[in-house]
Amino acid sequence: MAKSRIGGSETRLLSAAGIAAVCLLVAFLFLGVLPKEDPRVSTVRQIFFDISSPLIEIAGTPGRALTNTRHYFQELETAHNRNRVLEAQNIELRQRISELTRAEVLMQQYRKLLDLPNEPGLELINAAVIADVNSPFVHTIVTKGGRRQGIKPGQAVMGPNGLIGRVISSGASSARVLLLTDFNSHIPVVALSSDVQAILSGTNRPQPELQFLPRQADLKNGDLLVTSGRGGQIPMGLPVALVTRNEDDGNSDSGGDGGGDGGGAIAIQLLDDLARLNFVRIVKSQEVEAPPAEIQLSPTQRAQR
Amino acid sequence: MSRFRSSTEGSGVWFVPYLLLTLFVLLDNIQTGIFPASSLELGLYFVPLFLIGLTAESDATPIIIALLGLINDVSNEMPLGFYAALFVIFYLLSASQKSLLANTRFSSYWLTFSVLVMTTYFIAYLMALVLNDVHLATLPLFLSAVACCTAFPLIYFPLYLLDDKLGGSERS
Repeated sequence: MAKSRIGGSETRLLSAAGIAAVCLLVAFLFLGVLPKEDPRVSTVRQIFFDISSPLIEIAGTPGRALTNTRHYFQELETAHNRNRVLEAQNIELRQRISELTRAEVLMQQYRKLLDLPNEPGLELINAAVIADVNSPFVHTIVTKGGRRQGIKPGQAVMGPNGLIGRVISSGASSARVLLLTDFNSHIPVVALSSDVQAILSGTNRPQPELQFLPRQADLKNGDLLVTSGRGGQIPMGLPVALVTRNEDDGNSDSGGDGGGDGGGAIAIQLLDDLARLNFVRIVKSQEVEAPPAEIQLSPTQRAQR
Repeated sequence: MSRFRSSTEGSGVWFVPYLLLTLFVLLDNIQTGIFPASSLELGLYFVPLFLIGLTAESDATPIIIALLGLINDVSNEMPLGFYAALFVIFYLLSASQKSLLANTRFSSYWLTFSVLVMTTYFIAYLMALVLNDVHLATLPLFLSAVACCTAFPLIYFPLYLLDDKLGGSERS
């Protein structure tokens, strides 16, 4: 390689350092020409994960077993206290169930009165997490299960407690999920108590932030953020995060566009620990039809309209 | 502590750093749940890459390294060429230390590796600033570099012992 024979003796055209420099140039050329979200690159990534997912799953087995064993012993330690907490929660949840049953009956009656169509129930697909592509640059996971199981790009992905991201590509047997903490994640949300709408954007840090928050927004400590359903891809009402306000820090706020009407800096606490996901639930959403193409009207037609 | 032998000295373990590099690249994304702060990019592949830079003399080495960098780009959701460029830069930096590190102590190896890793992560930081579609969290990046430097002996020592044992048996 990089050699030619001249008059019986070997002459090197390029040294190893020269070849490395050429490789470096080619790498920079790739960086300049191919954007990260190029569909061809995305396809290559999906094929890579489809092929490597069985290997990654097998290789991750000892680590998962170790983690599960550690969790088992940690749970044993705290079992007594947890039992007390769960008993208290159980009583509270029984009360909530009776309230919800009454609310459901009332809502059905209101729907009949207003002649509103029934919202379809959520259809969920369970999938195991097999790879964890978390770095200072990206926050994604790879799940076992793809198109064969009905997983498609754009579908919402739930953890044990709430939304954790959305599917960005799906192959035959695996799917890539963009987590809420990734810089490229933007989810429309609404605060349940105050009906304030905003966009939850990732920052590549553990906590995402709220953007496009109205300046006079009245968000309180403990407010639940749910998906607003804007855009139609992610169903409305999926729990996403809790708002926490640092009461000591009344002047500054970290809420993206800096909304909020005093009361401390806004921080967002996701409902699930994204670093410890073993299983996720993918919400099968309905296909959103593209709006019809705009019809070009002649000036007379426009005048008639 | 003697220098890690070059690939042409016939120690019989020249392929081990390549094998480790490939394994670290392919299995970088294993979901273990062991590290709670999994947004760190430990970059363990830099250790075998360092050894390759110090020992390899084949012309094909930079090409193999660039290809493995491209695979790492694919598996890490990065723009194609990002890790390929970083790997080749780190290889070139390591290769430039070959004569300096001949017959030096382990601490010199560790120190050199740490400096090179910090430089490479700083280059990664600059590249992320320049590229529109790469956004990074600075603190995890810095912590990743520190973690990578700390983990150096864990991988270097087994490789060193393996090389010494096999090389020793061949010599005898």
